[in-house]
Amino acid sequence: MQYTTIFMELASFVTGLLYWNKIKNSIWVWFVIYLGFIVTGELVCNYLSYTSYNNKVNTIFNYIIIPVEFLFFYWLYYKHASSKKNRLLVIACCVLYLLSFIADQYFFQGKKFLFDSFSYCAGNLLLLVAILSFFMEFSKGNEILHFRSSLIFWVSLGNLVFYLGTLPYFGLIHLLYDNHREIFNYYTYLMFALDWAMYLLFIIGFIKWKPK
Amino acid sequence: METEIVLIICIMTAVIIIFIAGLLLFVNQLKNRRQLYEKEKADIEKQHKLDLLNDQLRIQKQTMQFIGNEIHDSVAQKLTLASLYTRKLEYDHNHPGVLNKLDNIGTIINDSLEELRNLSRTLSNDTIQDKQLGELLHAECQKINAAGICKVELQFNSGAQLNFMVKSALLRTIQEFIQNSLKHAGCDRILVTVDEDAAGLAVVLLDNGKGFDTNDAGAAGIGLNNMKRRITLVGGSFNLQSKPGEGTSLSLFIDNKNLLAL
Repeated sequence: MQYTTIFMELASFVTGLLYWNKIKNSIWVWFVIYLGFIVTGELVCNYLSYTSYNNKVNTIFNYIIIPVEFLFFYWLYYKHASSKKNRLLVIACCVLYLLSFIADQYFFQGKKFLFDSFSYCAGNLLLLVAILSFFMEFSKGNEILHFRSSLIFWVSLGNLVFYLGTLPYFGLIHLLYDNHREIFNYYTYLMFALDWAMYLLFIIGFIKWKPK
Repeated sequence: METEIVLIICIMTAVIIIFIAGLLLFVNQLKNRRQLYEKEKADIEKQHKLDLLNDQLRIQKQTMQFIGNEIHDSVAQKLTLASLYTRKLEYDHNHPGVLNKLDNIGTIINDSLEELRNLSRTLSNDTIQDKQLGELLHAECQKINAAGICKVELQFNSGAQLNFMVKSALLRTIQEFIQNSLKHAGCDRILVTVDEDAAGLAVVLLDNGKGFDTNDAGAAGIGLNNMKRRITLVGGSFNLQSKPGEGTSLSLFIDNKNLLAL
């Protein structure tokens, strides 16, 4: 299953490269670089999991890949926020995430909670807040009339589908894994499906996007 | 255990509800925004057409004033000079045959000069701007009745203050209708009624001519299209009814908010 996930990540990265001429003069260049980073990270972790360094995989995910994921999207929504209020909201989300990351390191290490990682769940929730504030601002402007050709719309939809859909999964992961293995297994398949859906929406975004 | 399952189900349900609610809100907002956009676009187009019409009328007025002034300054003065020359020739030549001819030439020149002066006055003055619609229609009807071809009856029951564009559009449309009735309908009576009520101004024009088939593509000439265009541009409604053998009627209506607008 995780190979299909890597395949979708690679497909979205390659699609971004194919449309490089369209995006090269915009901030979406960084999105393609981000996708390349995710693909590289996944491939490296996948490789390491079969070597003697397999105990480093979680470290790489928790300290590099996931923080970069969240921080990148906070930056993306900060760039797309047109009102001062929304920009401050995104900054607040980013700051709160960083604080939760620090709290995770100093207060929650070694303690088993309902959720896998306090900072991941906090980051996920705060990212959903940023996404929802983006949609509210988007729906009030004229851009909504051309939503099909707006890349930020497709990226946000993909993020919403994945992060909203998997919040209960990562939020209740220990509960599900320890006590409801069957539900956990089904939900894991759903998690992968939502991951594919997210990258598929990114691909659709690259194809349909019309730069201003 | 049961509590945990209930908790999982509740959270999943909440997620699905949030997603569906968000989707419905987005679709609703998209629909509202589209309607607002179409309305804004229509308003801008209407304003643009009105601005164009305003500019057209202003340029026409300026052009007519310029032509009027040029007629007065240039052509009329040359004719005056020609008239003076003929008077001098009359004085210099005593031969009766030549005197008669010179007299006729002088009369023709003086008549032309008088007509040119009238034309210049008509082109130069702000008749529509300065007078009320009732006065303008009354003058128009008098001019036609004086020709003796057709009897034009005016029933004017309005004291509404009209802006220049509405006045001009109504006057020109009524003039066009009367001209069409005289030229094509073979009528001997035209009725023009102008009434005002709480909703707006209603104008009804009737002739007892031969009528025509409004569905006939050849019948809808440039004149009829122009009339309709003038009235719809000032926000009025235009309804032309005619049947062969039954005369022609034209109903115009302009509501109160458009009478003084612009």
